[in-house]
Amino acid sequence: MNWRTLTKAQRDVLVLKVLLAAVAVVGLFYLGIFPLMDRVGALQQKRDQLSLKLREGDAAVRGGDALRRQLDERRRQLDRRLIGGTPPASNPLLWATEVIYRHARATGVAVESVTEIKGDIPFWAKPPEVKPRNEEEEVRRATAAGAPPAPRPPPRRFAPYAILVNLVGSYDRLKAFAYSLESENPVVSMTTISIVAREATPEQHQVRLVVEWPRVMDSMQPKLKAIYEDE
Amino acid sequence: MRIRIDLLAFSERRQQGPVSTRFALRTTVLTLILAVILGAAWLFFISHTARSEIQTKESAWRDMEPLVKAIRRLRGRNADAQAFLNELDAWAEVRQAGHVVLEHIQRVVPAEMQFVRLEIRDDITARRPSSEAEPARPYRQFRMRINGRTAGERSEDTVARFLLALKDIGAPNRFCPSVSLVSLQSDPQAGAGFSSFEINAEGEERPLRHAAPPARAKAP
Repeated sequence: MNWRTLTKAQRDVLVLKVLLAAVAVVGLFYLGIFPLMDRVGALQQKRDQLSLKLREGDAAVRGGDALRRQLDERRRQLDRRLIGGTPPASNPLLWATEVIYRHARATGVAVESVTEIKGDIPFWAKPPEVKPRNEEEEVRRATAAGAPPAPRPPPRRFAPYAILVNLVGSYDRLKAFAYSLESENPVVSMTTISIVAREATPEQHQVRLVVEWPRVMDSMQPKLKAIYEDE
Repeated sequence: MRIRIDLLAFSERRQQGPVSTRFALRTTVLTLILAVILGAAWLFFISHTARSEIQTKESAWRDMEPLVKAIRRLRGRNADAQAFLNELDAWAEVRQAGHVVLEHIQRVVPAEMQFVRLEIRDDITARRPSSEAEPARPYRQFRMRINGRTAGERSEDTVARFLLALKDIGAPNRFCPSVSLVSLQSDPQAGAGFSSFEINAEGEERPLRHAAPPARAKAP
């Protein structure tokens, strides 16, 4: 086959054939090979994602025993620190009175009265107003300000529970009472200590104490209960 | 002078190489077609393999999913338990033990001084945040007021010494680095040579920190 020897009609047919062949090749790639390659890519990606999910799942399941042990340990710590160290949800004054009288008896101070200081949950313990968080808006604002959006702190789980204790005793006995109370429980606080000298008995002072414990807020009781739920 | 005489017509000329142009062209085209067919077959094969692997893995995931969900719940509870414990730790950290304060004050009171009233406050307060969406930042701040009297002619020296000693108690973590004398005056009712005084002391703000946010249970 020689181009120069071909007639015009033969040349036209040849050019047409070449063009058709080129169109067929392009069509084959665009409609057949490339979509097939995309499909294979998507399938492989899905397979890899599943493999990763399975590997992570497997690792999570294998770490399950350690997690269970850790949760058991935390439950024990919570039992010890909540049951012994914070007022219960029901009848907290009875619990607090028992604590105060026990330490008073042990240290020789005379308790005159124990009363509950009633009040609402302080505003700082309440969760901030819950508004649906507009993440995009926050990110946009923060980016404009040149800083990442501040993470929202978790809600507080405890609010103070306070009682007023009037007692009579010497300074040394009051110290002993405070030591006994505070060394038993690291979260109890004497938020007010008022000592007034009594002219008639210089060694015995009139003492007014505000004793405060953290107490699980009612709104947090379901979360606390959920920690103890069986699987 | 060299003369080239070409007696063959164009149509009579033949390729002088080992293969003809026609053969070379046909072989190339056939090779390309074969390559495309093999490539497509290979793509079909790996697509089929991937599909069957996906089916196997999906079936394995269906078996594993309940276990993973249970672990995820367990993680959530664990994080919650830790958050409760962390917050209790925060309460313990911010506490100023009353017995330690009473002990320190007793140690620095001069012999010629007598307290009439001692009031210590260390409750939790907080400033209102600028917006309701912002969390409040509660803190404890040690505050103390002492009313008392001193005996002797140089009462001002006794009170000044006491003030200095008060400022220093608990050093290096001083309870009340800011101590001020509110009043000092002679107290004839208490007797000759007695003076009464009032002292205010204030510590620094000790924030009641938030528990660390519970770690979000990660996928799977």
